Amino acid sequence: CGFHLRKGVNLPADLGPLRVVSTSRYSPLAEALSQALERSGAVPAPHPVDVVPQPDDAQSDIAPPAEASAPVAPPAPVATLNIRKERWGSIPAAIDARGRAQELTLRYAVEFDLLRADGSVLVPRQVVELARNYVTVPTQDIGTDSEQEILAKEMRRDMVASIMRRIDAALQATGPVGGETALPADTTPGTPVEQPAEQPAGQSMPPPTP
Amino acid sequence: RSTDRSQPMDIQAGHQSGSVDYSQPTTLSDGVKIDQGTLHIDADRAVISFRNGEASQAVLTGNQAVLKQQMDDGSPMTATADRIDYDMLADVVVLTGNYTVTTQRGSTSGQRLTYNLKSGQVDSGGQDGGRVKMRILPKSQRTQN
Amino acid sequence: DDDMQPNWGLCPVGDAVPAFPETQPAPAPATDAQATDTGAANAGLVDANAGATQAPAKTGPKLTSEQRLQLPTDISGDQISGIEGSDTTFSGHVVLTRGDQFLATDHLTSNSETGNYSADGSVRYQDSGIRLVAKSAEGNQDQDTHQLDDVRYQLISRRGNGGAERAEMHGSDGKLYGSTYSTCPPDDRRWELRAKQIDIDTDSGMGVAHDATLRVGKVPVLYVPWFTFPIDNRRRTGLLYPTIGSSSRNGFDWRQPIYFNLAPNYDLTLTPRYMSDRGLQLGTEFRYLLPHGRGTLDMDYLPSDKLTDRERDEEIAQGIPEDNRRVDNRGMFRFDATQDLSDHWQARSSLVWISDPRYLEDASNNVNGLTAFRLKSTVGIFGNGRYWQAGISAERPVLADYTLAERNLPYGRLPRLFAEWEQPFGKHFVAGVDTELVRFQHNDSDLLPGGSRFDLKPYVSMPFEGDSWFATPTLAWRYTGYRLDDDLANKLGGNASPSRSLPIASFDAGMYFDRDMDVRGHGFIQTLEPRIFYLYAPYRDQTDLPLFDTRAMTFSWGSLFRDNSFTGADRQTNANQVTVALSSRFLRQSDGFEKLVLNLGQIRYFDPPQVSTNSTIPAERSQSRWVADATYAVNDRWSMNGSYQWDPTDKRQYLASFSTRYLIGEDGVANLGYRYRRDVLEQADLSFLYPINASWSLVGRYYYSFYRNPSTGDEPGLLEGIAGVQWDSCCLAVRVVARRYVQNRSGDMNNAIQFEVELKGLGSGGADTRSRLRRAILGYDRDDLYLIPPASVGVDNDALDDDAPDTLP
Repeated sequence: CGFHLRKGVNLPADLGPLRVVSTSRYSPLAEALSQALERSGAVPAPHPVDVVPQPDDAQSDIAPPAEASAPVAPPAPVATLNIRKERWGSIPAAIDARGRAQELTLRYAVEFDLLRADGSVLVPRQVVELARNYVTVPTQDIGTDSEQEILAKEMRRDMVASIMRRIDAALQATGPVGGETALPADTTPGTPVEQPAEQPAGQSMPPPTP
Repeated sequence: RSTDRSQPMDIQAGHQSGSVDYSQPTTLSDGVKIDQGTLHIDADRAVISFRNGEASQAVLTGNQAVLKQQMDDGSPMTATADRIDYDMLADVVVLTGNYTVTTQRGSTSGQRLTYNLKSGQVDSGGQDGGRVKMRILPKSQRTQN
Repeated sequence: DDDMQPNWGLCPVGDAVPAFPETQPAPAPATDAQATDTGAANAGLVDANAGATQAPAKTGPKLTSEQRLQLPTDISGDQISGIEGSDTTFSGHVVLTRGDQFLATDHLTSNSETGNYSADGSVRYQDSGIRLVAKSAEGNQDQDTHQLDDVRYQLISRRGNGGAERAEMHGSDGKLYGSTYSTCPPDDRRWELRAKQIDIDTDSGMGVAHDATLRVGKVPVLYVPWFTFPIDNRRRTGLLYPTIGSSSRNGFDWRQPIYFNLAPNYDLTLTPRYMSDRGLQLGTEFRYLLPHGRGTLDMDYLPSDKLTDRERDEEIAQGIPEDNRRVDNRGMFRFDATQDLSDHWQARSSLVWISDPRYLEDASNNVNGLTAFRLKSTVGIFGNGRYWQAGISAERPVLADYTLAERNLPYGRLPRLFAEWEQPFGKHFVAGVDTELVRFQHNDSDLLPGGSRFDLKPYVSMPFEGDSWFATPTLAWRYTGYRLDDDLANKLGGNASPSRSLPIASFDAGMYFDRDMDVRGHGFIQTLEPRIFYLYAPYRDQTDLPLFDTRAMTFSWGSLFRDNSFTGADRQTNANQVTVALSSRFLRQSDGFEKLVLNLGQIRYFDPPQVSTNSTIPAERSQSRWVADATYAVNDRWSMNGSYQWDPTDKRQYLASFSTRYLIGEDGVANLGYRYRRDVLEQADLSFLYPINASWSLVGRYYYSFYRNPSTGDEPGLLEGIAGVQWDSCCLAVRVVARRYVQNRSGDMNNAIQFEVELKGLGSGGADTRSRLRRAILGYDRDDLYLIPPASVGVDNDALDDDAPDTLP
């Protein structure tokens, strides 16, 4: 019926060393992603430069005092996978007749893009959003937090898989060798991303209404 | 200064032509300098006409003729223009052609200006079109020069 | 949550006071030699090209009045006459410029000695804060004071315009006498603020109206003796917009936040709030930002809440236990902060305290505020590095639901130490260990004695992967040991230090097939991804182990690939089973976008699971429920997804959920959802924001529960109903929303008709329906849908700080 083994799509040979950069340095996602990229053939950027955390995009309007932060050697230009935004969220997916949350949705969204060393776009900026549901029983509420921690750990692993798959898909779209034609950078942030919710190892996507 | 009127006026010029008895206007050229008290005039050409033995009018032209004078309050005034008509009897100066008058308070520029030295009355612009521009320096900069 | 910016989309293009031609392009400094043909020969006051958009005309940088005094003043005109050193009169298209100030008139008399000037004949004035036209003007350049008569003005950095009989400008302060202010275009005055005097301070960006009457249409709606409003959007000390409302519970409700901009990196907001039926409440919020940390401290205090006495007898009648009842002096404390300690370690806190379990219920005014029945107060130090993560934290649950009791709460983890290490060695060998040491202590420790638990799980796995396949065997050993308090030990058979250890082996393998497809002319790649997951774990008798943080995980697609079906270490399932699962994706060839994802999977048990959290042994079964999920993006406006679980053993469905979302036009949305979970819930939810045209739109929600639960007495019924209509225009929006929602824990419904008039740019009077609708109808605010999820909406039980970079507390 026409199915054949998937042929691998490797990172373009001319990509050079690759570094994963995240706005928050305490995010295990960046670490997991760089290991996944290494496994799929990427050359890790040499001496990883200490990432000066730029203030998160959702920086409130109070500004940090101008403190002479240690001058950081400008990182040599290498290809970088930028994790622009990373947000966790938990909203009630269903409430009971007394207004108590019966089912919660844990949501995890990451915005990323992949730029070549010269700054040109290899994978356009896009958002991957995962959602997992779990039931809470108000009168017997033991274990809800630990369930959420387990789900969060799994969602991080799935997020790495989803981002890798998005990179593969984008590279496939531009042809095996790092295509010269720039990717159609249509998914700029803010514009509706076609993929409403990424569903790797599919979990029931909750009805988005609380 | 109004006291300049009573000062001796000496005139220098590269070349002079005119009649001794002052019946004909005298034409000075090749760099004219006129000094009378605090009044100093530099011009390329000057035509001075006389009336009953007194210099009554001077028409100075040049690639920007220059007239410098100290006001009664001691502050300097400089006027430059393509042509300066100085009616000494009426004490009126008419500047025409890209004139600029610079005083301690600022500068005024335009195409045509009549300046009554006695009354300090200034009139400019109007009939021949062309905008008049005046720049008033802020108080802080006035005291310097 | 952050308030939505007013939407000026419906406003006509063009300014209330069109930009002056002379100021476009920026008035080049009048050099003496420049031929001064301003070209604006039109004598008419209002400029013809109405096309100037709202963008502020180029007027040069914003200058304070001190800076202005340092700059020269340039005046130009067709004609000049006057006495040198005293009054000079300009006439004919007179233009006066100084820094960002621009004045144009027909006739100007100026005295350069005294600095006085007077201008009449279609006066036009503009600086970086305001632009106005007037009949005449006079003033003094040296003191930078100006007085103008019969004025029509427009603010530059914000949408606001109006008129005044007389305007006095002194440096950056302006006083408008007999003035009006509105954000509506002059010819379409939906609302207008009329004041005897409006003071405008462009430096501080504030306007103060005295003796102001507010007119909506022609009707005077409100008289306010004194009223401040911002004329630009900077942070500044002063009053913020008051919110005024009324409700059956609070009576007349007036909140007046006062903002103290203490320093560039910390500020304080005091919010005195008067509620006629409850008393005076003071809310404080202190925010700080350090180079390596930030935090927010919130404290609310409501001494002697009248609601407590008023409903005390009703509480007694309902038989609510003593410590769940409302207290007299009520309050809430909350401290959320993060502080970077080093490159790898960060301290995080989200401490919360409420005076009584009913505090949140009485503070909320919508159904989403009610959902939190438990809060978690936690503080800890967390670290992560290249191959490891670790942390030490203390967590304590806080009861927020008077129908429950402390015993329903989970154990506190005081403290909890955890560490996870996983390191690859070469391409095909990974070693790691997960370990945790926790001291469990319950709020009600006599009823539920605690103990401490040590859980250690070292593991090795060997990942092999090619382009189209992967195979990962993993071998782990899990040891869990306890030190139980005596009462708990006696309850569980006397052993104070039970333990359990067992090996866990798993083998995860999968393959990837794909083929090119053509659907209606579009190239697609369909993938087929079979996957198996074998799990082996011997049975261990665990009846003598306590249940501190363990219950069965919600069965879902993830359960098919997990090595334990319980949420905590107190139980480890026995297993000799294999999961068979198949996923298929349809990727668009042009950009790799996933159009359709299908998943189907099930566990086949060779030995049935026998470990459970209650005394009964689970029924014999040879296969788990079938799990099926699907996500389909019909196009970029319409998406749908569903999931289904069916149990072949008892031939019953356990989960059936379907939801679809359709985006209507630019900002409309319709959501439809149905969800059935056996013995838990069965609900349907339809919500929409339907824009009929640019001005009118309908909002609605119908959230109905079909579920009947004899034990709790829950009956099928409406959970929330909303019907509303919105009328929107350039500067005025009116919303009328009828709502029926669950108001309190005893399930009483509350009907409320909310009427809101929003004077765009001035604030809104009446209930803040917009943020409430935003919670009820996901997508009401379009950016809730996309970039980043709406994070935690309302106070929910795990208080995830959506700004926390990533990790969970």
